[in-house]
Amino acid sequence: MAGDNEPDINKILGNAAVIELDKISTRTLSKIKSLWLKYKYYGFTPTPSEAESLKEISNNSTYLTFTRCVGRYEYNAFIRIGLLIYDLNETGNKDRVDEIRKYVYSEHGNVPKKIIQIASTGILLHVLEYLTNLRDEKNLSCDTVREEFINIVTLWENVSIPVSLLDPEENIICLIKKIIGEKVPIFFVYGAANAAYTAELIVAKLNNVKLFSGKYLPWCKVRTIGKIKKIEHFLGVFYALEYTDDTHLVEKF
Amino acid sequence: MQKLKDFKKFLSLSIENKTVLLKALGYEIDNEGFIINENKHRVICKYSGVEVPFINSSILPGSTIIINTSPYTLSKYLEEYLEE
Repeated sequence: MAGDNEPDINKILGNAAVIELDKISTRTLSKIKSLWLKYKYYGFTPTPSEAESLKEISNNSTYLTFTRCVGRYEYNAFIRIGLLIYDLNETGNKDRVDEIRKYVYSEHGNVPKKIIQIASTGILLHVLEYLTNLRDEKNLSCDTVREEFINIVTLWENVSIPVSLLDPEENIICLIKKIIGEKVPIFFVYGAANAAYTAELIVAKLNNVKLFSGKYLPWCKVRTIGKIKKIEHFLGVFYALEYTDDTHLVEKF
Repeated sequence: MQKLKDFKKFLSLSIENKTVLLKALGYEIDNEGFIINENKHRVICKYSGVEVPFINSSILPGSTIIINTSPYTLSKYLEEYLEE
């Protein structure tokens, strides 16, 4: 692993390890410590492949957009974990996905759970695009956009309608009508793969009969996501017209 | 926090080599398999706040950081030491 002029710490450790631990000289231990503190090239972990995947997410466009949009704050780690789960799902590593979900859900509570749900489904990119537009249109600060993101996360189950091919179209339409009746400030309709087309079609139908007219402004997008498997995603964001004046949505929640 | 500019890669380490590196950094392993410091106190992971079992420990550059490995603790480390 070492370069030409770089000491091979693994080899040095291996040479020391053949000696009984208590008999390794103080000089050798000091040398190992000074090399470790000087050459900060490697991190040793039981899960190097996963650690590398997490490191690569620092360059993931969704993660970069998120940090640019909301700045750095306590929940960034969960965005990264959500994106890791998205990658693991793509490669079919369901067991590891289940382990990570179980661990995070039991250790970190409800908001991280919802953040991971949003980040791991590919919906995050759409939500971020919505937040970026909102930020640019209204010239919002990172703090305000962050509050808006947390509001969306907190209300996610009440304001999101996932479209599945298993759900009859009428049920989805009923849900959309119900949510409009509740006068929520914002709601989301989304679907992936074959359900993306169904979701888009339902929203188009409702738009044609002017269901949103005078109440909600739709912002819809179809996007293809995925490094290995290209999957089409549809997201419709609907924000209440009475909240689209010069104030931003977060004040209305 | 000073960022690690030269960091290259995460690697695994054999149990024997890991034990030597921990000893060089001033740590030992108690009889229940947890890492202890020079004062014989169990090391607490700075990100998860829990004691660190040897088997699940990561030894990371940027002073002598020992963490209880999980996607969460690794993510926090990456944010703190490797991201601009």
